[in-house]
Amino acid sequence: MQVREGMSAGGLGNLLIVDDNEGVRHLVTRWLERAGFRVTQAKDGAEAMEMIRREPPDVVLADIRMPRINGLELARMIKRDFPSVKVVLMTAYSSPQTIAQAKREGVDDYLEKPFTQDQVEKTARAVLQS
Amino acid sequence: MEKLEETEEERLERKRRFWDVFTVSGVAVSALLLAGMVFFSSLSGDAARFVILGAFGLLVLSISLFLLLESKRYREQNRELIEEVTDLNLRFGILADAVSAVSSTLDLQEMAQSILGVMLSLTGSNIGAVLLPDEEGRFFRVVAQQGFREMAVASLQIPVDRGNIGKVYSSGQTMIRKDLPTDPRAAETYRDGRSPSTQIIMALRAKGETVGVAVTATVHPHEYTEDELNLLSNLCHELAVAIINVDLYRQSQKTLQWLADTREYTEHFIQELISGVIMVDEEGRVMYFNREASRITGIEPQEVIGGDFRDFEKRPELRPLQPFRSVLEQCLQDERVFRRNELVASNREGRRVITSFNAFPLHRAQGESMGAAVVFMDITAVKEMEARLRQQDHLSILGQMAAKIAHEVKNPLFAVLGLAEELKVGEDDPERLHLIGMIEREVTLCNQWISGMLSFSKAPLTEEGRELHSLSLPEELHRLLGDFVRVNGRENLRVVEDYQEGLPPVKMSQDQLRHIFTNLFENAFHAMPQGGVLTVRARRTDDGNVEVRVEDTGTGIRPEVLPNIFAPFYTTKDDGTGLGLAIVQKIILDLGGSIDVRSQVGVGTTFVLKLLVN
Repeated sequence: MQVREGMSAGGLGNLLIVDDNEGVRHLVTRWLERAGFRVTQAKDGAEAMEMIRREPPDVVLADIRMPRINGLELARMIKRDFPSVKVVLMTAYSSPQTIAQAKREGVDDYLEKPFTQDQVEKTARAVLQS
Repeated sequence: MEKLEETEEERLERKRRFWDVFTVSGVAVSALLLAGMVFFSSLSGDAARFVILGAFGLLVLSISLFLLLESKRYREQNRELIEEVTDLNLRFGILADAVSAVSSTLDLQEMAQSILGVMLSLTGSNIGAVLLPDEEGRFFRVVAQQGFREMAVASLQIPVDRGNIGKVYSSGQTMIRKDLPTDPRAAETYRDGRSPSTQIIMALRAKGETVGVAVTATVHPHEYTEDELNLLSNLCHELAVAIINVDLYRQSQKTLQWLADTREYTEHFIQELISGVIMVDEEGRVMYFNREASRITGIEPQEVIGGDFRDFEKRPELRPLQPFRSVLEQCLQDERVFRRNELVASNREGRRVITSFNAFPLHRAQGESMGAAVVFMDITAVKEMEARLRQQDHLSILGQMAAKIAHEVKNPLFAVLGLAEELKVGEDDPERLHLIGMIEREVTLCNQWISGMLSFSKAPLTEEGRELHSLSLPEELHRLLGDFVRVNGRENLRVVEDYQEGLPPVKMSQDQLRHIFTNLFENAFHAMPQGGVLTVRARRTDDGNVEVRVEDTGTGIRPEVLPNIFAPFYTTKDDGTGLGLAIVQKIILDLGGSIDVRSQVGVGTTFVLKLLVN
C-alpha cells in the first residue's frame, strides 16, 4: 500500500508529532504551527499508525521511548508501509547503538532533547526537501 | 637307551662311603695278603714263589693305594668346583644386589658358559649346551654352548614339550643316551664335525622347579661314574639356583626401574604441575616445593626444602608461607583434609595472593602417616576478574537505571523549559518574567545534573565502535598535564613526570585519555590545598602492558572511605557528583585495564592504572 499525497494547500507540510509526554507534544506543536506547518498529534505508536493509515503526513516526528510501540518500531512500520513518509526521531537520551539502528530503519533525521524551536523547524524543513 | 633314576643325595653319599670302605678294605686286604705271602714263603723257603707272590701283593697294594688317592683327589676337585660355582653364584648375588649398568642377560650367559665349561672338562666332553625355555615357553633358547657350530645353534628349534630334551625338562629326570647313531649332519652341526656317541641330558632344578636343561656329549663312548653323575647333578643344581637368582634379579631390577620411573615421573609431574605443591614428611620436613609454589610465593625451593615447616613463622623471609603452616599442621596432627579452601597470602614483594588450595595428610599403603601436602593455585587474577565483572555488572545495571531515570526526567524537563519559554512570549510583566526566568534556571540546573548522570550511564567515552588510537603516553600525558597546569596551576604545586623510555603505545581514544587523567589530576590538586607534588609515572609491566601512577603528596584518603571511592555517586566533596572516579574506572574497565588506589592519611594517594597495549 503506497499512498502519496501532496502538501496541504497553504501549508509547508503536514507533520505528525508522536510523544507520550503531553507537555512535549504541546510545545513542539506550538513551535511548528508557528513556523507554518500543519501539525497533528498522537500519544503513542499505535495511535500514530492509525492516523497515518487514515491520512499519511509528510513527516512524522516521534519520540524513541514510548510505551507499547516505541519510536524505532514505529519508524520500521512507517518505512515498510509508507516509504515516502519522512521520519524524525526525538530522544532525551539514546545510545549510539540505538542511533545506528535508527539509521538502519531508514530514519531521516534525529533530534536530541532539549532542542530549540529553531532546531526542530530547520530539521523539519530539511527533511521535507530531501 | 638307558634311563637312570635321579640320584638322591643319601644314595650317592652311601655309595661314596661304600667305595671308600671298598678301597680302604682293598688296601688292607692287599697288605694282609702280602704279609701272609711273606710269612708263608719264609716258612716254605720257596724264594721264587715268594718273589712272585710279593710282587703280586705289591701290585694289589699300589692299585688300592692309587684308587684311594684318586678318589680323594676326585672329591677334592669336586669340592673345589662346587666352591667355584658357589663363588660364582655369590658373586652373581652381589652383582644382583648392585644396580649395575651391565645387562643381566650377559651375566647369565657368562655364568652358564662358565658352569658348562666345568661340566664338560669334568666329564671329558667337548660338546654341551645349556638350554632355557624362551619367554613364551614354547622353544628352548641356547644360553651357553660349546662344540656346536654357531650356525647350527642359531637355526636350532627345540620345542620345550617334545623330544628327549623336552622329556627331561618336563620330568626333571636325567637321561643318558649311549651308542648314538652317527648324525648325518654332524659336519654342519658340530665344530669338529664328529657325531657324539654318548649324551647326558640333565634338568636344571632348584627349589622344586625345573628352569632349563643341560646337555653334554662325548664323541667316544663314555661310561658315567656315580661321582661324575653326582658332580653334574650338583652343577646343574647350582646353575638352576643361579638362573632363578638372575630371574629374581631381573624382576627386582624391573621393579626398581619401575619404581625409579614412577618416582621420576612423579617428581617430574609434581615439578611441572601448574599448581603449587608443598609436601612435608611425617617429621614436618619439607620434601617437595615445586616450581609453581616458588612462582606463587616468590620463595626458592632451596630455601625451604629439608627445613621444618613449623619454622616458616620464625623465619621472616618465609612470611609468604606462614598461612600454609597451620594448614599443614592440621593435616599432620588432626588428619584434617581441606578441599577447595581459600587462603590469602602475600608474596615476597608484598603483593596479595589469593590461593585456592587442597590439603591432606599422606599415608603409606599400610596406612601409616608419611606426611602432608598442600596443593594450591594462584586465583588472584580470577578473583580480581570476578570482582571487576561484578563491578562492571553493577555499573552496567546502574547505568541502565540512570539512563531510564534520566530520560524519564529529562523529557518532561524539556517540556517544562520549552513551555516556560513559551510563557515569556508576549509577557510584559517583569515580576512574571522574573519568575519564568527562575523556572528556566532551576530546570537548567536539573538538566545539567542529569547530563552528568547520563555521561556515566551513556558512558560517552566508552561507546562501542569509538575509534581507539595507539597513543604514546609520555607525549599525551605531558601535553595534557601542561594544559591542566596552565588552567589549574598554583604556586605551591609542583609537577614531576617520569616516563620509561620506549613505552609501547596504548589503545584508547583521545577523549578517554583526557577524561581519565584530567579527573585524576583534579583529584590530586584538590587533595593538596597546602601544596605538594603531583608525580606522573609510566612504565612497562612484566606482561608487556603499561602502568601509569598518579601520585600526590596530599591529605590522603581515610581507610574507611577508600573502598568506596570508585562507587558511583559517592563523594566527599560538597560540590561533587560522585561520578568522577566511577566514570574513570568504568572507562578503564571497559578498555580491559584496571585501576587501583593506595593511600595513607597525611602522606598522599597513588592511583595505579594498568592500560592495555593492545
